[in-house]
Amino acid sequence: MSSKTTVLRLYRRSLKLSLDWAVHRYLWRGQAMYIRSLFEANKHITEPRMKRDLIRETEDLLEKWKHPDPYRPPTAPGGSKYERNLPAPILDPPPKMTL
Amino acid sequence: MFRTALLRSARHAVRAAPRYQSTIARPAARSSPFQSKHIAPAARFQAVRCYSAHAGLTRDEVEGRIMDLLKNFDKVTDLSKVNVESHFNNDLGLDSLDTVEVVMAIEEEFSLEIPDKQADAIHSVKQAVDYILAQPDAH
Repeated sequence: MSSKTTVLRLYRRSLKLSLDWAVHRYLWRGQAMYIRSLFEANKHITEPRMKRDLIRETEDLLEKWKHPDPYRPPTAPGGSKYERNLPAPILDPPPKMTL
Repeated sequence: MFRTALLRSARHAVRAAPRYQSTIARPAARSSPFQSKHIAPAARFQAVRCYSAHAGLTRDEVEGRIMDLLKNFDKVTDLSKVNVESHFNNDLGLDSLDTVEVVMAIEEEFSLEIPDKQADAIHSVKQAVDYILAQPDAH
């Protein structure tokens, strides 16, 4: 996985994490802009070792701020609607066997 | 007058009851004076609950909602370029972080969670629409 993909996933994770912690949307908006500025600040770094350090640092931060009860979409695993209203199991009798 | 109204509604209830299954008709509940005043005669025995299934999303609806979302996105400057085929990076001039934000907004719009791998693959309106239409639990 290229470091660009990694960084994009980290950005996505950090936005979701801040959305978990934020009480209101208007508060989250400021946090999102701050996160964006942090990512923008290191946009031009090309040296692999520095990139790796930054990625590790971000992961540590995300781990440190992990939310105990994150938002789950209702139909996602762990959500309140997960596996509700499943289609019924097959109730027909088995086909008749002629032996 | 109150008693006559009650008697009349009870009589209606008795007359109407055999036409329906006993599980769905509830004459006892309908004969209460608080309800019988408000209920029109046609709707007297609508004690059946109507559950509706999710009808699914049409392609036009999904496209319209995604394009509305993009038009409200403040970094999309040229609104005339927002159409069904537009690419986030090439046509709308959004960079990769903006694309992540757009995909997150799409997730919230349709109240579903897009896994990381599929979210990385969404780069245009058409890809997003195709992905949403493939999901059975998109709203």
